[in-house]
Amino acid sequence: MSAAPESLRALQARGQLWRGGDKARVRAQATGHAGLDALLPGGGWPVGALSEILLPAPGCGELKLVTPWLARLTQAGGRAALVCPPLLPYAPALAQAGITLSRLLVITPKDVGAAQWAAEQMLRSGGFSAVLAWPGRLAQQDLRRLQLAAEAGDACGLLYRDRRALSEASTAALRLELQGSASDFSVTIHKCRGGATGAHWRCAA
Amino acid sequence: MLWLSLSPRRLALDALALENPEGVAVCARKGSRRWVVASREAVFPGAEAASVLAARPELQLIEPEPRAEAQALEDLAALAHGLGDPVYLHQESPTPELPAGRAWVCVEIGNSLRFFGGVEALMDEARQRLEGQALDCALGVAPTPEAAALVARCEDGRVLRRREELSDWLRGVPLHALPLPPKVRDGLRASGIGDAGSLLALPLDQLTRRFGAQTTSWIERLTGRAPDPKRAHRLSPRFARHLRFDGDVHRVEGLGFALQRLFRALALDLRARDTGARSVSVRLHHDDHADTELAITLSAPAREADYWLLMTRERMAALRLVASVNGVTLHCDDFAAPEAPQLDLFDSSRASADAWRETVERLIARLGVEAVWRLGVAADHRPERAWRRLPAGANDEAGVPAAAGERPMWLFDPPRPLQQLPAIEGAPERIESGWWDGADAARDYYAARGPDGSCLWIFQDRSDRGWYLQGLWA
Repeated sequence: MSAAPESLRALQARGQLWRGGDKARVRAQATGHAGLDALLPGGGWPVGALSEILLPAPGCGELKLVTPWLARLTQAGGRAALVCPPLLPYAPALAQAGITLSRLLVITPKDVGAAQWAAEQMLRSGGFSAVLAWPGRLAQQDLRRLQLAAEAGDACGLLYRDRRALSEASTAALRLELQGSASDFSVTIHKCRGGATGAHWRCAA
Repeated sequence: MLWLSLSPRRLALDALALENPEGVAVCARKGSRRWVVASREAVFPGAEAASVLAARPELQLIEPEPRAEAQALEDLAALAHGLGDPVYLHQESPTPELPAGRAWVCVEIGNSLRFFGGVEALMDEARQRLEGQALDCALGVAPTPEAAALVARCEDGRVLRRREELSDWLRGVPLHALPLPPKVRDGLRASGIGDAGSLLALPLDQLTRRFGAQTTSWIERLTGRAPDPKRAHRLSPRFARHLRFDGDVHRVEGLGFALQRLFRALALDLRARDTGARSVSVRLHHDDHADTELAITLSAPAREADYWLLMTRERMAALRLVASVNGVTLHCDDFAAPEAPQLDLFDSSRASADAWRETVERLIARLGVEAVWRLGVAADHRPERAWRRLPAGANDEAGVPAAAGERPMWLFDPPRPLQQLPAIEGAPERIESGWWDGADAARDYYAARGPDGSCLWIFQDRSDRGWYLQGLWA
């Protein structure tokens, strides 16, 4: 009987056997919050995919969630963009958080349709490592287009959406819900490709 | 000295860039005479329009367009600037005596042979650059400009390096191929002279007495016996090309072909200037409406036609035509050398930087330059002045911030007056600044907690005691 576990391991090594509960291999970039990274497959924001961040209103820690990652990314020479932010991103605060401002682009088009177009172009181009967008209302096919663009450009796309969108289905690889305030917020994983859902993580200042 | 001549075969026709040049003959007019200048059909330059029409009534006779011809020659000269120096441009309009006119561009290539790797390689290069150009050209190389032009006209691609080769070759050139006035030609023929060889054998003083100094002077310049002073061609300080349409264009998509031609000409011109362009202006002409002008500005200078075309298309996509378009003009006088690509250890980051730049340009082209920007900081204690909007493509650094306490991620600009005072947390931060520039600020800042638990940044203006919300931690 001692041979049986041996052969199972061999099968597993060849990738012919898959064990449930294992996190599938997902290419990801660490969020910079160790506790959250531990919950996410690949240990962070999935690369070449969309992630949704759902929140009731601005000021729920939605930027605190991403600044460690953006700081590391821009310092390493990556480029990022903010599309249609709901308020003015305050440069001194972003600089304080360690973000290299010259590698962060801000897009403020007049209408929302243009925001989606801009986000798609940037995701697809391969010139941006991260695109953070506040796209407003999105239809299924818009989400799908953005997802395909992120795949094509091998970029991380983060969409900030109203939490009411939780009731709609989504093709995003990751859906996080934010609650609380910048000083104390919690993250709930609602969907997670290649990982477990339902987990919570709390960030308190 | 060695000269390369680029001689358009059918300048008057090619310059019009007709979509369908078959079945068309360009006819010049002088007084009551009207004759064919250029055509792809089997009608010869100089044939009377009336008799041509009688024989081939289906032929469409059109007027020449001197402006288009001049532009096409300018393009050709720009191309020649990339092959050597100096460049000469010669143009004689069609007259009854010279029915097809005469136009060519000559460039001295003796000094650039080594760079290109020989005459043949240089001519290959020239042909390659001519591809996609409106003008169909014949090439010739000879020791004098006149001879080079003659060689191109008689034997495309022929190279005559030395004078002896030239005089040998001239011996076989028939009289009718020489650009002589018909009277002179007839006179010579009547005297039993049938080719250039026997013409050149005549004593020059007798020739002058019989046919005038002009013919002798041309022969001397042809053979190099006399110098051939000409004014070297210079590129004008401003690039301008105009394209007139045969029919009106009603849709933006219909402009693609014209724009492609114009930007190709621009690319040629930029290459001749050895620089790039930072902004161009595209002007659409309407019949009974003011011109539509589009100014297209890039964040960094570029020189490739395709790149410019792409940016212009993005810009055009948002355009609604006010009226049908009957012509396009492209202007450029904002020249700047593009940055040479820096060598990078990692190819991928270079590709990514290119992709980034191109995407930014397209965003600017579609959304406008004010919608695409970067953040910068400024050394000012007033929060609303501690940040700056920077153009997306600028290379200037983001700046150095003034030392300050912790700042919120979102800013309300301008600050919002507060009706209800939220719960204040922590100690105040006093900011007093700006008494010298008229935007005096005397404020006490506090972190506060909104009714929903959000982290606010509020201040009390010490002049009017009012409370304002300026920031939100996120």
